[in-house]
Amino acid sequence: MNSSIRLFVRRTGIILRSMWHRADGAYALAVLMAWLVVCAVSMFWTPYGLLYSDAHNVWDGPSAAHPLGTDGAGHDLLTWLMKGSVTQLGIVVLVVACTTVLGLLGVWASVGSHAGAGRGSRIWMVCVDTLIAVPTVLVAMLVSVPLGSSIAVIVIACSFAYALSMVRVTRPVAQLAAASPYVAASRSYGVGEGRIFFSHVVPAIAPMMAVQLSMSAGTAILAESGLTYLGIGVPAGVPSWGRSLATCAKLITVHPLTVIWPGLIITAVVVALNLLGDALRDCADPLVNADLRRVSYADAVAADGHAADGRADNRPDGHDVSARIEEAS
Amino acid sequence: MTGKPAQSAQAAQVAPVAQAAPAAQTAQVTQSAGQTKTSEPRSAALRSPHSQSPRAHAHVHVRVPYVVRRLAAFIVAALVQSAVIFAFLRMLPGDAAMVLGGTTATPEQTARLRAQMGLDRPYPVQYLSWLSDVLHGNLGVSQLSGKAVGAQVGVRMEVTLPLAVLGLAVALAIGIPLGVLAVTARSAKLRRALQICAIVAGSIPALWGGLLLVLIFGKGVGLLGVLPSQGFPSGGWRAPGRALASLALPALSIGIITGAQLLRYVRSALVDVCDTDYIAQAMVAGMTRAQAVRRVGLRLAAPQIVSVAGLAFASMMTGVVVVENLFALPGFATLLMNDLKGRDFLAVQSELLLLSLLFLVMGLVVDMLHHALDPRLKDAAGFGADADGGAAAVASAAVVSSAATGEGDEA
Repeated sequence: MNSSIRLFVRRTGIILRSMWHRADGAYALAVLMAWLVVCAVSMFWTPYGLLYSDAHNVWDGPSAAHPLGTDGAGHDLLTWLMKGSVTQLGIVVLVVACTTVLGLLGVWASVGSHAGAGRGSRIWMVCVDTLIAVPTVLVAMLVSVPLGSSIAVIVIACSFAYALSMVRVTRPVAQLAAASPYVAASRSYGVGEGRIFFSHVVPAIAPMMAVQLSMSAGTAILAESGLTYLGIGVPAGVPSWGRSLATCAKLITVHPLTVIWPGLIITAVVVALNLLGDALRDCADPLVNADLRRVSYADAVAADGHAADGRADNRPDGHDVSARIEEAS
Repeated sequence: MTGKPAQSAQAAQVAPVAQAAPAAQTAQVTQSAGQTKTSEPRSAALRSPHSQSPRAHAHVHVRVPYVVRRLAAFIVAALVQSAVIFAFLRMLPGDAAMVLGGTTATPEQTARLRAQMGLDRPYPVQYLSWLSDVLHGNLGVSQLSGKAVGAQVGVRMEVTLPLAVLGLAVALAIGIPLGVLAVTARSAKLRRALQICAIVAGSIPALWGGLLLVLIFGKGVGLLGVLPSQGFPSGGWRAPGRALASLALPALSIGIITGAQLLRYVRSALVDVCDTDYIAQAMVAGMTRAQAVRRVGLRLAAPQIVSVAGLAFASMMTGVVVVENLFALPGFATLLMNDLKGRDFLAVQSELLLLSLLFLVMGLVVDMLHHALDPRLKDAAGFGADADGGAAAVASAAVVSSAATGEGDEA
């Protein structure tokens, strides 16, 4: 267990380093790091309090006292955006977590690893294909009926939609993995279905999931701004980027400059999350990233206690990496 | 289609040639082989996925035509959604009678109202009577305005439907030509620039995009005040020019963003197609690469593009609701939001059902188009119950996963 954690840490380090050496990866990492730093700082310090309002300088442009200006209530925009980044991070983390759980459940249902699940999994896929046409905003409206405007509406609507698309995208690979000889071999040893799923199917779809999740995170931020503007997302009084954008949008014709900042931040972060997905896809793929391949091999062998004795390359059960390399050749 | 197992099995061996990634090929074949016989325990099918030939089982099944299966799925989905919508609206404490009665109504009055509206009946009875009303074209009466929901929706749709169609048209007009250009352009700088633009423009919140457009083009406020930024002419479509002008900015703001997202998918679908022998063949026959991509590649990628455009349309919906609000258009989404806020649940229930039906129909049309555009699926349907959906999924998975490849996939 300990060695597999070490392996995970080393692989993560290599992935991050090779991402840093690409232009898009570097931008993504830089923006996301900045986001985290702003979150951390705003926990302890913001220029003003959330409730502070400068009644004499309503709709102010950028000034020394208010670097990004103020909104209609005299709130300092910078403060609200900083505080908003925490809410935003919470929403994104929740959406990603829920999407992962729901998505894995969906993949489990679509792979139908246990005997006789063929019909059930096919019916499930027809459901997925049909439900995927239902837009997020419709689900959000429906959920907002009992919940009102709340962060839960965003999380439920987004993770519902993104989990469905994740199931659809990863299904071919998941089924390929579930039909592989090493799964058949494990099953013949009496390995349980749950363990097979997590040790063979999930690693096979993990890179695709990472890309999907990264893009979902970006889309969730966009959805947040839309739903909050419509009044069924983040409730009034809670800071978030979408909330700032919605507040500033009201008097756009009179004070156009204020509205630039929230939108700019949202766009920059969403671009970063999209690029993160791109970079992650290449850097986390041992077939593309040679450094990762080297370490994965050496560590996989060491971690399993097979000190390099030459048999590592043709072990029948196969580490996921070696299996994928065989598959590709 | 169903009676020719040998032919369809052969088609299966030919079909994957078009799939770019080797993994995708294997996926499709194993999938089809594994799911040939539904009654067979799945583990048995999995035991020897490589030795088992699709031919062996192909004749066992009588296949239901794809159209019938898809229609059945549509009907089931519509029923399930209506039940979910009904259930969600009943989860609230209180009901329309209490809302209507307000704080001053005595319990007796509320009870009378409830009986009037039929809310005292058991839920299954209410659900069935609502469903049969809807099927007869009676969407109920709005509690807020006292008007028939059907008539209200009809008026509002005159704004929303053109808006959505215009938005989609803008998206397609941007996404497809520029997506092709992002593959065929000679200059690597231009290709890269298009990709970057697509990523940035696709990441803009619809609200902000709309605001920026107002700041640039909005009459009275913008730098180039040419287009109206608020409201819809009261005469509606009797003044087509003005109506169209008032829809221009909203349609542009959702269309540009969706178009940018579409561009990425079109580009990656074309890049995938470029790896196939078809393009090489076309070039051997004398086309330039750009010609081959435009004439052969676009046709090959058409099914995937249709699927992605369908999904893009669904994802555009949030934008539609937002811009209707932003540009003060009296559209369907505004009506729905108002009824939601006014807790007019009898109206909301029918409106939500209509909207979800609209999207189910959209999905149905897209899937049918996908099926019609890809003759490989027609052949494949012969031996794998799921081969069609599977192939579509493989295709869209390939598109999505390669949409993520930023660069270097263009040999």
